[in-house]
Amino acid sequence: MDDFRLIAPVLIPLGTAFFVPVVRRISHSVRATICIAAMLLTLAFLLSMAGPILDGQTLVYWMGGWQPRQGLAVGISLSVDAWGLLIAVVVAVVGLFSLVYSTVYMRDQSGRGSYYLLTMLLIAGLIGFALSGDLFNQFVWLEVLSIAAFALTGFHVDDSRAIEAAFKYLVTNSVAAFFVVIGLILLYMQTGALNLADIAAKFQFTPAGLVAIGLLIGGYATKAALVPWHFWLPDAHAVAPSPTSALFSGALIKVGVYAIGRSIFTLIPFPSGGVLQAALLLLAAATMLLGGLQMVQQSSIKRILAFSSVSQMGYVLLGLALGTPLGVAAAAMHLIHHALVKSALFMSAGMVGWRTGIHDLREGGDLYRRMPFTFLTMLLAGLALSGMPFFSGYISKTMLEEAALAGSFGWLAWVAVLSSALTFAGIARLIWHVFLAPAAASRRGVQEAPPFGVLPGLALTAVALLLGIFPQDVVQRVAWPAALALYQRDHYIAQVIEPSSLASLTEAEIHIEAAPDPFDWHHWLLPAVVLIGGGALTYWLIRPSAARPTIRWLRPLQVVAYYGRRWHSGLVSDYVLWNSFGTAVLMMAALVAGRLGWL
Amino acid sequence: MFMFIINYIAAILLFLIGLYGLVRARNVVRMLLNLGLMESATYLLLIALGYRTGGTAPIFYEAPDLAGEITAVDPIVQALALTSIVIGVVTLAMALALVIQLARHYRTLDPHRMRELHG
Repeated sequence: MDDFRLIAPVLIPLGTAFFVPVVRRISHSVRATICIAAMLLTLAFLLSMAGPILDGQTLVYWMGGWQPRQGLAVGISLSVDAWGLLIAVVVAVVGLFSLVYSTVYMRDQSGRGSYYLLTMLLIAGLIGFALSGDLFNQFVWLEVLSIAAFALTGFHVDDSRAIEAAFKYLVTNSVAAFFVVIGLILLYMQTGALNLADIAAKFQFTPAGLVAIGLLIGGYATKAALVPWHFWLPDAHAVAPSPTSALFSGALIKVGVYAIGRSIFTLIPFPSGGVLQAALLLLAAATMLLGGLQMVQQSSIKRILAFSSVSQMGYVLLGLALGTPLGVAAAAMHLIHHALVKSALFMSAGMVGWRTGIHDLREGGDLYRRMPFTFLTMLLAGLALSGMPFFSGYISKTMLEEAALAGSFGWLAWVAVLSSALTFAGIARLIWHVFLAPAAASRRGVQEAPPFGVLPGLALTAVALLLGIFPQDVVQRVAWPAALALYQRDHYIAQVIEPSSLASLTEAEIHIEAAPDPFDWHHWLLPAVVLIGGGALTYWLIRPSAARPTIRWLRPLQVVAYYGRRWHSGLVSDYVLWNSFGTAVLMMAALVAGRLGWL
Repeated sequence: MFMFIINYIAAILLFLIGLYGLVRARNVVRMLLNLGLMESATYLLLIALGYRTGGTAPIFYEAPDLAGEITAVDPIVQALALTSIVIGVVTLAMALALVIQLARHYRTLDPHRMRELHG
């Protein structure tokens, strides 16, 4: 029974994926109900494991009973610790809400049968990736979920942009997959192992091992959409069906960050204070800034949200790259927060498009009275996204900034604040143009979206609000255990490979800190800066360009923004080149640092 | 020694040639061929890694005597290569399906003219 509990969260979505097309003749709602029931069951199985895992255990299931002997693991394992379980639960929750939303969004689409197949396949791949404890097995799940994601991106076959985005997504991610394969081959060459814990136990800082870590981070960074690997994301998110965009932003890119966390904490002891950490911190800063700058320049609604996802992934990487327990806990918290809020935003944007056909800011305006609940969802989710107090974003961003200021990386906290201000401006501009601005066209006859189109987004936003008001339990019982699972590397290795040696393991006590209190206004300085700066920027942005006053100190930012936009050339070869360049730089950084002892 | 290391050199060269071709290609089908070349490089790397001088195929009917009388090549990397090949075929099929749709929409195979999404 215990073994089945571990494998069920993968088997159920996978089984449902191939069962759904069989019941093709039954109506759309029956098919959707089957998928939703399957997701509820998956979620129940995942949550049933939560008790022991959040107490610090790692549950392990060896496929076919191939237990490790004398510290040598040949079999394939599912090793579930708090970090993996967190991602799996996030995927399951976002998947569930996205499926409920699909019942409305997909109602009149052709090819719905394959839509549910692909979505369930994507979810199965994501959960399989998060639970797997074997590097090659992870790669296989990565490909399963990628294939489903390519097909979902190009789901609107009659839209040329959807096909274009799917092709670019496929090419860039295939190259990334090669980097992952070569990385894992090099690790196998060095350690003779494929199990994560086994590799971790035998890892040494040799050139081959260091290059392998660089390649793995580079490959996974494409999934996580870090700058300069992010080019596929805005294209794919913008053209996919909205429930799929929600799933991509809420779940798919999280899995990339999950794998980066595994690579830098579990596979190797975290290289604190060296070149590799500096490279990761710079990547995080670049990702936060560029995502924010691109966000305020877009005119397509879903592209704005997609670039916001890029900048938010920068925050998560920042937390991981700080390398302290508080930083990782903040990253885990931010991950939960972003999954909730960004899914809600994509769902609301999808409903606006579904009801009115508005996909661009220039067409929007004057919708707040016609679609009040969609407006409310977007407003609340937007406030949460920019980190206002009483929302989940405030908690995670305050934790992140505390972690950055506690180390010697105080300037990163200010980069984070600047990016938050850009996020605020981007979302405020979106809400202004879509809902509030005077519209040229008449809005007569526009109706609010049906209940199941609004409720999923509203529910997710409500959870984000609850998390922001009562953060203690989630921070201390979920985010911190996930951070500790990553941080206590020896613990993970011992539990997977040799459970008998666990008793003799001594470990440093890590102090679990309380979450910031949302009612304590001493911490409101940074959100206030964000509010004032972002508000001013919004005011500047929403005026017609001729009426904008020139502000001299804004000039450098404008130049960066201009070239940032030019950088997204739309040429897939450029994107591949940047992917490879980024990976090569990481690889060389790791290699040179390892040689010179600067790790 | 040289015969042993040439596999690795060939794999790296093949990968870089594939990458160069992928970046330079002005035809989406040719891009996919170059992706295939990069993929082959990973297979070559895998198989070269499992090679043992004088090794036989790793087929045993009963547990072999591990005293060192028999040398066999590493079966794990071969299994990995097979799995990768299957994955590669699936990705290629998906990519070709997309190319057909691209040709239908854009009436060309030149990736430089497929730039609706940018900026």
